[in-house]
Amino acid sequence: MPRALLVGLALAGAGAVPLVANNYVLSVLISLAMFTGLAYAWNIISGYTGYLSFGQVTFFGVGAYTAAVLIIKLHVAWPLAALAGGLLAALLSLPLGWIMLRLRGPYFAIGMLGLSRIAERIAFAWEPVTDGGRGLYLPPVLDLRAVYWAVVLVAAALVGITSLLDNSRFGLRLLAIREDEGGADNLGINTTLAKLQAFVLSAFFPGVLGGIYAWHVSYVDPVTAFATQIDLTAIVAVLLGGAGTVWGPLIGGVTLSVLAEVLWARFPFIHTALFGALVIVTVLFLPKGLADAFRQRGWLAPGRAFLRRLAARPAPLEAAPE
Amino acid sequence: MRKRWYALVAVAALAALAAGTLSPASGQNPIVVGASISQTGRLAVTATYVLQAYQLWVDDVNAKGGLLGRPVTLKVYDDKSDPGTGAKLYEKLIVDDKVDLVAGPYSTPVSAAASTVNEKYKKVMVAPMAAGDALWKRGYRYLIQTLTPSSLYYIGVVDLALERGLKTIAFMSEDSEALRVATPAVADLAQKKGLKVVHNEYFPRGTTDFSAMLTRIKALGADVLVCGCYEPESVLSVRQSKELDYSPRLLFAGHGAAVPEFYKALGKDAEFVLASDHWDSRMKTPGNAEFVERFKKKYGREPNYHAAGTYGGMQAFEAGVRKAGSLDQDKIRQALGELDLATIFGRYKVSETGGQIGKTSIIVQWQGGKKEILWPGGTATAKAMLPAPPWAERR
Repeated sequence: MPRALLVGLALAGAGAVPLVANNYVLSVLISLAMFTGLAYAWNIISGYTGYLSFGQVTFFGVGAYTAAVLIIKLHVAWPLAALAGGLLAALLSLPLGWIMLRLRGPYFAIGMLGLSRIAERIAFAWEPVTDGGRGLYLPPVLDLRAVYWAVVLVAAALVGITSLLDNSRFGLRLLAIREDEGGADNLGINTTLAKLQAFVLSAFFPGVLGGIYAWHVSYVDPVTAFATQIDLTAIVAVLLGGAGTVWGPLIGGVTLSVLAEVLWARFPFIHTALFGALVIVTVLFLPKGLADAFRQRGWLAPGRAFLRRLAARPAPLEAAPE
Repeated sequence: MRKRWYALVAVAALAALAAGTLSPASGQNPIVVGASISQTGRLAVTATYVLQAYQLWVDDVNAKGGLLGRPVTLKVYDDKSDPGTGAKLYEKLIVDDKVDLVAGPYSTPVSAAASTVNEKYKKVMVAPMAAGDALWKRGYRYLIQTLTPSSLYYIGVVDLALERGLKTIAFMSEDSEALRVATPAVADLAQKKGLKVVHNEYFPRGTTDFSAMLTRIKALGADVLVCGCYEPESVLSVRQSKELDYSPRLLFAGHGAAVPEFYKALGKDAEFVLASDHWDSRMKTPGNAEFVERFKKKYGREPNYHAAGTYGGMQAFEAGVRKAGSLDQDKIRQALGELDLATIFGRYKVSETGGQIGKTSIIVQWQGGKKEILWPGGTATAKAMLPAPPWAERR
């Protein structure tokens, strides 16, 4: 099957990069993969389900602190600690999602922003565990390759999950909620459950990435672990690439990171303005993102390929996989 | 619409190219000092002082004929106040740009992230604005501290108390890592020099009611009260000691009492209160007055302790490189370990770990609405007005 071959080649290529790249290139690629992963996670709850969140960084921070504490106090191996960070973030997202997802539209967005600010305050105040504003120091990372592989693995897993989601009945449910939640409810979709499932997915992966981040930077403090900037970068990446698409976050994440390295390092004083200009240009000229522009030129196949093939078949219809 | 989009991309690409070719021409093979500074983001306002101090230092070194006979240039990136970006930029500076020397970023979080990268490449980093002694407990070798270490925050108080024949001293300090180091250091010195410690208590951060503590200390009749506190606590502890009519003959209220807001909040009640500060423009350290003047002339504003500390740190770095006589990082590290230097910021001397042990705070007193330096003696601007008159006798 050529598609499986393509995927395998892409993964092998990405995995082989550390054998040739120097540490600077690796650290750029780590942050590229990190933000692409965060963009994918945000895309599930906000791109597909339509619940715009400005607070997924809450779970990033929870993951970062969980991993840091496990590594420092219990000497857990860092990949396990990062995984535990993801699991705790997912666990925490159950009650939080149950409460927050009752809000809609701007109220949900602002509510999530508030949630991340509360999380930051807790990290400041809970000194016995987080050491407050002084932050937690982790053992230094002298080999970036393992960090790179871990981040790329998480990002690749998110690409895979999103492409499954795009072609599944679950994905359709989420899209139905995005387009008309009341209507979806009337059609018999358990919207509460579907939203919660999407929310947990969008919390688990930032948690894992937060754990890897803590290990990579070897220092966590409240302000950086819960920085709104982390959310904003992921959101802009998704908007630029195309929300609710399989390839949008990848296109956006790569474009933004490459732009950051090539352009912004040369314009130290105005790169924030360039960032703003990019957002405006995207919203005005490419409201559906680069993925849509690529599709119109035929460079990218339309989304939901499997469902489209299914729908195009004369009859009888078989059920889409869950 | 498509045309306009292409035009935009073309302009951006051209601008990038132009920026690439216009970077400083380097005919004489200069020594490149690399740093990341938070030019944007939450730390940007203070970080510009650090950047300006770096630039001033580069100017001054080049005016003296450079370093090791070569001119010095500065290569600076913006870390957006983000430790992760900072770490990435130090990788870039060291691996990609191959800078000769590495100077520190502003703030402890970014320094913490950057120091790990420098340690990996065995690059000495003088980190002028990294506080937090925890950074030097990680076992790193190539990180050099120039800010006042916590253990030397308050020690000047002991000399001032003994000069006036005071006998007993009481402490109440915020329960934080820095003050858990700073307070015992003063208490030890006091005991050694014959000042009796009658009380030593820690309160949690954010405490607003000090009356119970102050009542206990008042009952003990301590001559000297040392409040190990920052801004809100400094104000509150002084105000409440007045309300309880407790008049220590020397009232010291920590770093928080040195900021202008302290006097604004307390007005006349701030008079006679002592405080600790990192640096003052009137300090009689070698070259300090000239530094203040040049800084004001170049940037049109007063330097603060961030600028002075950065400049002083770079003076030490410069001395280390000259002593080493080469850019060999291990030789520079060794030289920096052996130096005992007077910079504009104060004394520079580091321990085995690279942590600072020479720089002390200065002790100031509010006199007539102005801060006067009392300690160390060589740099004093006024005589100590001690003992302080009791609250009841003040008008």
